Amino acid sequence: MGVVAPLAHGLADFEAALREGRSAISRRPELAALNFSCQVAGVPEGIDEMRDGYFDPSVQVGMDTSTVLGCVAGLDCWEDAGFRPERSPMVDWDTGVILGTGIGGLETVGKTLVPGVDAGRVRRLGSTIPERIMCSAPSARLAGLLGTGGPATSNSSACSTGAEAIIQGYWAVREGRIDRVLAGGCEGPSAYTWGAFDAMRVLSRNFNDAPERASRPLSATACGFVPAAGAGAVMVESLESALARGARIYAEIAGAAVNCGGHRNGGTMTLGNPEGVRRAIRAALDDADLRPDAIDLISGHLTGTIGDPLELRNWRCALQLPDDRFPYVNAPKSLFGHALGAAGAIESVAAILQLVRGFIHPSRNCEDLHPDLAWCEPRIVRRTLDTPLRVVAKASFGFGDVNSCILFRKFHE
Amino acid sequence: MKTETTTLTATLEEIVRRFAPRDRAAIVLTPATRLIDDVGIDSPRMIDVVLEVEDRFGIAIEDEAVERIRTFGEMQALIGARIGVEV
Repeated sequence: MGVVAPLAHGLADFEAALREGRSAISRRPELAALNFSCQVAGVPEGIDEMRDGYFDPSVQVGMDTSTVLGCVAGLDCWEDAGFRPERSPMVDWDTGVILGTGIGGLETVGKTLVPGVDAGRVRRLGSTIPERIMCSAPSARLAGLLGTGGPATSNSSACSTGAEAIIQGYWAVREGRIDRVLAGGCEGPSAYTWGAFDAMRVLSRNFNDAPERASRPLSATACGFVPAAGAGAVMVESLESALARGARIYAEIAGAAVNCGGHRNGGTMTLGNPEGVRRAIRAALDDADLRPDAIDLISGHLTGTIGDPLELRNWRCALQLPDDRFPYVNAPKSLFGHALGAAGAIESVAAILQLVRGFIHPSRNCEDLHPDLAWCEPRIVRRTLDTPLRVVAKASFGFGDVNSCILFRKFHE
Repeated sequence: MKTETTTLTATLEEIVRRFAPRDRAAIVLTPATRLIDDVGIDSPRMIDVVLEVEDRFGIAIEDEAVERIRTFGEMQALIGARIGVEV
């Protein structure tokens, strides 16, 4: 696995930050200067140093920051999966790359392409714009760095992107199409991206002077999500292949599902059809051949918007469990914000770390629980809980009424 | 004139190396060094090299002239001619 999160770069630091329940949300003067209502965000530290440390100058010129983050997570994942960090001159035909992004290279579009074209300076744009802004930029770059010869593609399904990438990798491996897929998602920090959501009035705006309190999933005083950037990646591999090469196995994907609510039954471009969400959850359970009470922890999508109570109501309806046997719930975005297309991938890494190490990170800022969530209050984890976990559910939902659910199961040889 | 030639060559070397892959950035550049085959600068990146050269020397180089450049020496000669430095 590999992760570049607002909390930390690298698995060890990320796990420590999760355990601590540390907030990675900071005040962003650049957003204040641009008159944003939301002036806080979660941004990985040291992006420039990562760029210089990981990539040749000749490669850097062809990378938007979203791709930089995705490739750092991807290269870390590659090495963590037991492959050599040195670039091989050979093509690895048995590995694919699915590295998605929700928005992609908008920073390059906004800062370079549009001003250059509008000023009549197309000739001066240089050669690198397409490889920085094409939707497949993250996967194309990573496949080139690693020399992978399986399919290389960047999926995009808004805030479900990162989880869906992992599921697509899982499907490809399960169908026997390829031995392994390096799968994940990435999103760069960009006022252009975040401005679009600020304009929708869906970003947190009431806690600009207290950044660590701004991301408030499950809270009665939640006032929108906190935007974030980062990347996460996991190596999805067949058990046979992983065992044959002696790879470290973190967890098993027991089952997964992806769907779309079709913008019906209350679903819209921005709201989920409840039936779609419930079907995705049930389909993941069916895929895994698991009963609802097998799930120990729901790592929620939970953004800090009006969708939070609805999300847990959908889980309640889908699982049909007595409230006192409802799985534990936590909200990773309460710690590091909402990294859009990277969210599902970063949060999957977090889910797997919790599964493997046997702990549940706390949800911050829900001391004033939303009144519609009183039924599950005992199951919401507010302080780090050390407990063995068998199955962790990671759900992601996105604009477009899209849903994804992955069930990670503890691996026993 | 010799100092100007040395400065021109050093500036071009610095630019070319910046756009070369890391494993070839230390390559010895001679007039016969091929920019694509030896240095590893692909044809799209040549556009970026030329834009950088234009900025550094305050000149404009037409695309047709760029397309004829194959070696470091040809680049030296072209830029030298444009800025009045004998190479």
